Amino acid sequence: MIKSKYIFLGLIVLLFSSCEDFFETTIEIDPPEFTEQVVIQAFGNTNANELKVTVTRSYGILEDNDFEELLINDAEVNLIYQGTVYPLEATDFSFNEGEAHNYLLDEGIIAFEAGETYELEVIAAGFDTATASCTVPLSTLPHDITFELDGPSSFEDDYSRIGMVLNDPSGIENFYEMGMVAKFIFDNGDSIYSSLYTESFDPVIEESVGTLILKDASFDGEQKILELLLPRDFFISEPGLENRLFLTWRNTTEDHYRYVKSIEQNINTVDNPFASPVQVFTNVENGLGIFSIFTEEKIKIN
Amino acid sequence: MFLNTTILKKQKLLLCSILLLSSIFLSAQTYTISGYIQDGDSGEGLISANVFDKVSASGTVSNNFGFYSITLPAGNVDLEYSYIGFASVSESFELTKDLTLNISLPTSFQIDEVVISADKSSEGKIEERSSMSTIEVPIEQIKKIPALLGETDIIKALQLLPGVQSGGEGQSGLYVRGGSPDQNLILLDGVPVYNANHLFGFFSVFNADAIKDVKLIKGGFPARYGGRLSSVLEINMKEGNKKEFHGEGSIGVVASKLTLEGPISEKTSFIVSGRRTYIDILARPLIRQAFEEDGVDGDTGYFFYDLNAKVNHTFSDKDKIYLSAYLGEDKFFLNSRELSSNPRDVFNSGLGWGNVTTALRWNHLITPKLFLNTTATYSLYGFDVNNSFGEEFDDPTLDQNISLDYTSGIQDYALKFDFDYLPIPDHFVRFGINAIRHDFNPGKFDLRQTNSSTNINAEISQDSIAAWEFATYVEDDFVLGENFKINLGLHGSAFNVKGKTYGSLQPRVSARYLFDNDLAVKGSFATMQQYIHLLSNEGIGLPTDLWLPSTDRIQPQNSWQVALGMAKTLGSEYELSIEGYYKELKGLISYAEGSGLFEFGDWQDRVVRGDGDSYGIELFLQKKKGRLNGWIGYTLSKSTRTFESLNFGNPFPYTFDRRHDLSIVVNYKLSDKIDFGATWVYGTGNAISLGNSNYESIIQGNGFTNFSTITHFEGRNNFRMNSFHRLDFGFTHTKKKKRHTRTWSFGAYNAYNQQNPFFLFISSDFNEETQNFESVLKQASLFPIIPYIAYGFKF
Repeated sequence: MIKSKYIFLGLIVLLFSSCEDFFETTIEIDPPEFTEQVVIQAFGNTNANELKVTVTRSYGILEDNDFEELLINDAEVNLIYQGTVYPLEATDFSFNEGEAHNYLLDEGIIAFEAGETYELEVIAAGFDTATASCTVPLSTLPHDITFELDGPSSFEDDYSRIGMVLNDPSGIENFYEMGMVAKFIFDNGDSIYSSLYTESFDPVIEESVGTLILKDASFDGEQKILELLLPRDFFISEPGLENRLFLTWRNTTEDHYRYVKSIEQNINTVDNPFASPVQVFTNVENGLGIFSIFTEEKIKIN
Repeated sequence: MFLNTTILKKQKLLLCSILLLSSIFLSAQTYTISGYIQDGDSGEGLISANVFDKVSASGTVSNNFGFYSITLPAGNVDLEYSYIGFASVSESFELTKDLTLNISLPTSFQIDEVVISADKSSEGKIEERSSMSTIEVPIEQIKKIPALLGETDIIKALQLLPGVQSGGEGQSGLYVRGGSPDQNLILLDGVPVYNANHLFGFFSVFNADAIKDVKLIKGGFPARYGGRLSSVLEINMKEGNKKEFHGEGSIGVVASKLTLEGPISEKTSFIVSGRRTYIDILARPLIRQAFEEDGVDGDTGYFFYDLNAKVNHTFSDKDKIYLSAYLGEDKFFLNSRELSSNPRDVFNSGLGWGNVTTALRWNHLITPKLFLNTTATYSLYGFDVNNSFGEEFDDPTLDQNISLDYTSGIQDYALKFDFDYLPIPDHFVRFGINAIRHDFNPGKFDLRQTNSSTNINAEISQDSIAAWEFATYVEDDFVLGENFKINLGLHGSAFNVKGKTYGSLQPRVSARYLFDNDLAVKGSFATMQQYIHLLSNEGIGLPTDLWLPSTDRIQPQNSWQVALGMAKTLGSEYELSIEGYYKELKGLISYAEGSGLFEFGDWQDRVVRGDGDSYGIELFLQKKKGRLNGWIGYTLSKSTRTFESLNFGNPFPYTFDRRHDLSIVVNYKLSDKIDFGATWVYGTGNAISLGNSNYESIIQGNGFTNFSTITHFEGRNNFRMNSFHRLDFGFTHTKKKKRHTRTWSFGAYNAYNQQNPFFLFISSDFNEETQNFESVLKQASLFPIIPYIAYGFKF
């Protein structure tokens, strides 16, 4: 009996001795191992026949870097087409619209042809040579584009409607990207094209990074009527805006579609504990990022 | 020629079958002895009690209601009725007619010394049991295992067995042989329980004081079970003492419980048991004071309660009915209202979930050889997340409020007919049929906004889905020769939803061959089909997972599993079993990348389908007798998932893939009054998706360039959390008083204060050396060392 009393006494001492660190429940641990990789973001446009490439490096999840420190400005970047090498010229990176790249294949050097395959290689010191290839998609444009100021309403939001008809080519997978821009003219006569927030209630049209994307899996070879929605307030606060509207229409590759879609999802979910994690697609061997050549047309809305 | 040979073979096969059946059913001059085997003290039916005739060297076992039937040749019989923990009873007489013989087994005077018995099977030695991958854990044994805050927990005890694992700290559910929690058929008195856990899985919904029997089947599933892929956990409530009024209860740090049972009349008994936590009540004054110091009238807390009740009535030796019910609920709440401003902010938040199950069972003896159990059941599980915030003005007409309520759940009605047919000794035939009506509520948002000018009530809900599930089965547990025992069966099922019907035939077989040196080799094969899915978010332990049906777009899950093992008794005190298994799973669902809970739109658009496989070796060594007893369970396993739309189609480790899982359970009887218990567990850390690196995305958009920081995952579930280990221990001091027996329990959970992983997060901490804020990766743990003390009583 005496023995058991000592056991109980010992237990009680143990109970209270533990209270000091009771709420200390976090510890620092090592982050996952990783190897720095070359990140290529190369976008070619058949309209301008130019290729803009940004070459950077990936970094650890705990690192805090200035963007300039991530740029790899001394790489050898080549576009290869039918055995011919087209070296890209190093440029100064700028955050200004149209200048966010550090390598450029200027227009006029090569004309991107639909159905042709182009390769890109990036040779950077300290990294394996990164390569990617891209086959230029066919151009298919929508027609019968219409504008309707009083479109549908949802909850308390009113929309204006852009309607269009797309004759999807049959037998091949097609991927499209679209967005609305408006031309704004300053008092001095200068003008800029600015992107307008656009959405759609059509479930086949998905949101991407500032654009809308869709694939033709559910309407291959058929005529598809598309409907884009713009907040009606745009047109109330900016009279005459409807006369300066443009539809930016792209035919893209599947790789491009998967890349921008996964980028959008990754950004939206990375801090959401309720969401399934998203791995961003890449078509770069020995690296990350995307090599994409797309067709692009800016179509004025009448 | 080939055709003739085939026909000849078929004819021979048919002839052999007829002869075999004839030998079974046409034995001459036999009579049947049948009845119930009961606990002599309480009158409760004893499950799987042994009946053995020494004259004919044949035997049988009692069923889930304690009923037995044995058909023997006319003449002298010498029957022995036995059950672990009870003294055997012998009956010798001349058998001249069919006989009803109810047997009450007296409690063995040695029961206190048989502290551990991991299986109550009639066939005492492990190698003699035909079933494999099946473990029965007596409630008395579960009660001796140290538990978090002294709350005895059936699920936690099962997680100490090989092949069964917890999800880790803060994760609820059982993970059996690489399966997910929804793949466990958890039956409480035959009724499916959809969520067996209270908050974060700290406690299970099963109050051990109201439970009679627990059996877990991990593989080699008998044909009578179906509808889930990975395990069957069968839990039977006590019937209620038929002879005397008794009570049992405890007062612990977080919860108290009380169980009362006894006879209502000679033929009727009852049991009622309740449990409730009271941290919310005890802490309320302090919490309210803390709120008031901040100028807020507020309250927050969490509680759960369980209520079990059962009543049974014996009409005659041929007819009995049982009515049982379970009601349980968890509730977290946070309410606050500013005291003295104008307007005053008002915020209310809540998360609640709970189960309701009821079962009405009727036992009817059609003939002494044919027993029918008819069961009608109802089961409901649901959860509700609600938030509301608003402003209150001195002028109430200006008040405004926005509230969002999200609910989801499942409701079942079922009717089952289960027959036990015992034509001759060495054959135990079971067959039956059942139908279940499922009503799924995949998720409903209810948004309300009220102010002086608006009164909006918008309901956005997924369509409720009704479905019918049907099943039928037949199985025979039989002996071939002296050493070979087989359970052979076929389970058929069908599922009808929205005009679409799925069906499957699932063959099952398990067998045992006993060698002369008391070594048994066992093998089993089972196919399973599951028509309902649980869409889980594996990153959190909240009970917000969605139960969903198979539909025309989402096919059922199915699996097959093969297991091979050996079992042997070592000396008189030790048992050893080793089993290897391989399991393939098809038609699993998971959230699509980027999708998750609390989203609008059709849930079918948010899920992706894939496959999985799991294989491993399990070792179970236990010491069953003596002052020191317990077991060591070890599992070496690997579980993988492959989804076309996840991880770019490449296989990836299942979140709960656990290479090593080790449990050591020890009980030591220090004296007649004092017991010591300890458990130590070790497991490989969970596989989670954690970004390996970041990079900057620069996309040439539409009239702009988009810059974003992207987190790059090398693969899905690419990172292993730290392995976890933990020691729990406890002492129990029991003393008999004049009118009751009282028990004091002391102990500690996580005795050496190991910081086990709960979740990881990146924190920005100030570095004294560099005088800068720097990002660090941190692991949060849930439980430090938690001591407990509890007082229990029994009368």
